[in-house]
Amino acid sequence: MEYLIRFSQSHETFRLPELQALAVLERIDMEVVSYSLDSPFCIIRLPPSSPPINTATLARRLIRRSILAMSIHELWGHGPDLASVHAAVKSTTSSLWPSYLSCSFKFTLDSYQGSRTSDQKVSIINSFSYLGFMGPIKMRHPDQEFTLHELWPFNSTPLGIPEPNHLYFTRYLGSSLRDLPKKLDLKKRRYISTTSMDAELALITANIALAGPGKLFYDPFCGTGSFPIAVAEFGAVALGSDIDGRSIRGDGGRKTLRGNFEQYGLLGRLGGTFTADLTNSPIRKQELGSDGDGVRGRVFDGIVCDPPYGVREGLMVLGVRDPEKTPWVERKGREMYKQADFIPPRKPYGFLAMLDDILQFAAQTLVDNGRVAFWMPTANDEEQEMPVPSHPYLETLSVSTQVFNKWSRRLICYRRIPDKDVDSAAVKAREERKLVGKTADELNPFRKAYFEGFQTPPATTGTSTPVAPATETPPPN
Amino acid sequence: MVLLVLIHFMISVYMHHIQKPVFFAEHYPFSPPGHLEKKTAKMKLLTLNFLTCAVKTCKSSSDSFPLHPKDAELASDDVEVNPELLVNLLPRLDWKALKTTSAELGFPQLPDSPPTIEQLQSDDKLLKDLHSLLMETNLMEGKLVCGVCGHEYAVREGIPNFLLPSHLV
Repeated sequence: MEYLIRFSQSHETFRLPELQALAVLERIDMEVVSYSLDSPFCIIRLPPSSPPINTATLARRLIRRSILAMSIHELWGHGPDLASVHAAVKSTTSSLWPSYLSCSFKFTLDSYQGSRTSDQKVSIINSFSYLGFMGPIKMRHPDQEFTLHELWPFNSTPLGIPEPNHLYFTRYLGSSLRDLPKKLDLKKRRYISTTSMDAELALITANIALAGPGKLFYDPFCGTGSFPIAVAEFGAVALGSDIDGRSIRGDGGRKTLRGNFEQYGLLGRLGGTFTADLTNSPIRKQELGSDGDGVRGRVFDGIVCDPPYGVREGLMVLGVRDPEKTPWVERKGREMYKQADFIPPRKPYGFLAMLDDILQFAAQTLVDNGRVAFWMPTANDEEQEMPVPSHPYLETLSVSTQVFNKWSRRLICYRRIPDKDVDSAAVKAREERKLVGKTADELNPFRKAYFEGFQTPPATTGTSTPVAPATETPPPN
Repeated sequence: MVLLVLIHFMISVYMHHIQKPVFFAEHYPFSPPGHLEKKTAKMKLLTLNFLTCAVKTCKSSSDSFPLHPKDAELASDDVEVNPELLVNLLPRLDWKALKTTSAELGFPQLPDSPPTIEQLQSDDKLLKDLHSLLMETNLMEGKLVCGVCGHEYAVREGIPNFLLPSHLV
């Protein structure tokens, strides 16, 4: 049987990756029959019932923790006009009608991008009278809810378009966690900073990375803890670290990362927080290609993060920017590093190098089929677009985009492939490349483009693009 | 003249303002005495089983793991037992390291080899004990010492600091 998922018409490119991740999480073999970025209605097919679990239960499970889906329905018939819907309902579902003869029920109309007058609604609902339901009509908490979903063309009301493009007749099965982002709303969170991730997107990230009960997740750029909170909300235990311990500490009282966990009643799922730099991480890692059993040595089920883009939040790692020019920095460090108030020097770091380090770290610490999902910015202009980074031990599963004015940010999700499936030629190619650059602009093509207003480079540069894949060549000038 | 003095004063106020030692804030003792009660953060002992020395040259030596707690202050809290998590993590725990950590912190001795998943699932007491050690015991203050280079990572208010000086990076 086919099922209709009613999506929210927002964050469109995140909807299918989230749904597919939930299918993996619930171990449901789902087939997407029809889906479009322009429509909130998606038709899927689920495997036939195998007792004790019937397909309706599977359908409810599939979206029970979705953020972008709103509800799931049993699809009784669909077509380009009302007559074809009636024909489909009559020909395929007449065997189902007797089950609903005596229960209480209600009919609703769900019009997307269009509207009907009350009289039209009543006459449309009455046109389904052949179903022969005899039970009481209850508008609140009915036993069954039947809906006619209508997909209208864009702007249909001002344009005076009389009929929708497509209609679906369904029976309601279950809802999602569409309201969960309100609980974690940043506006009501005790402690946030300028770069805290929006609650809805953090939860979607957690879903796409398969956060769930009994799992261990890590955020190497945790800041005020947006992602650790999101994964903990779904049941995982979260570890977090940041190069700047102040963001974890907050004011030392209520306004701390831990205070946020306390606010949401998730304290038991906060594994620990520490101050660390990803390029010199204290997490125990497994050298690539050296472990056989696929689990021991690698510890995380998932890694989720929003690394600093180098625009609002500086992109720094431990080290001295120019050790030859300022030898005293290291000399003083040697003398004073044991003092309690010593602050280790930091240097700017390349954005692409950082992304590469995240992937390398993920490959070394994720269990087989564990997922890493991170955000990266890019210019909207095709000439300046940044390539999606890749790693031989990671399979790219999805790339979703949130578009702003001149730039966008993408959520990219990868799966750790078991060692035996890794392409050895790709591993060798990876070992042979080098990254260069010293200043923030040289190291971070996105930062440079951002502060130059995303201007297209003059045509004289020929075919060369400012961002070369996998290496960081500083652009001319 | 008055104007000059005024401008000078304004500039000095401004400079004073922007020169606030924000970069040093992390290590400023801005919490009053008795800050331990505030419980800024806590680190479960579970996490200690995943942490090693951050110095790259130490990574290859097995003595860099686990880190050895020194002058450790512990705190315990009540956490709901999560059998699913313990079963999932059991194969990833380094049992030898856990045994060392547990002994160094003065807990009863753990058996030499880890329980099997079946043992853990069927033995409620074992599950509770392991839960209590890994999930309910927290490291609050003290130091974590590397067995190879001897570097001491300070733990303050439940947050260990793994940042390294430039000569160790």
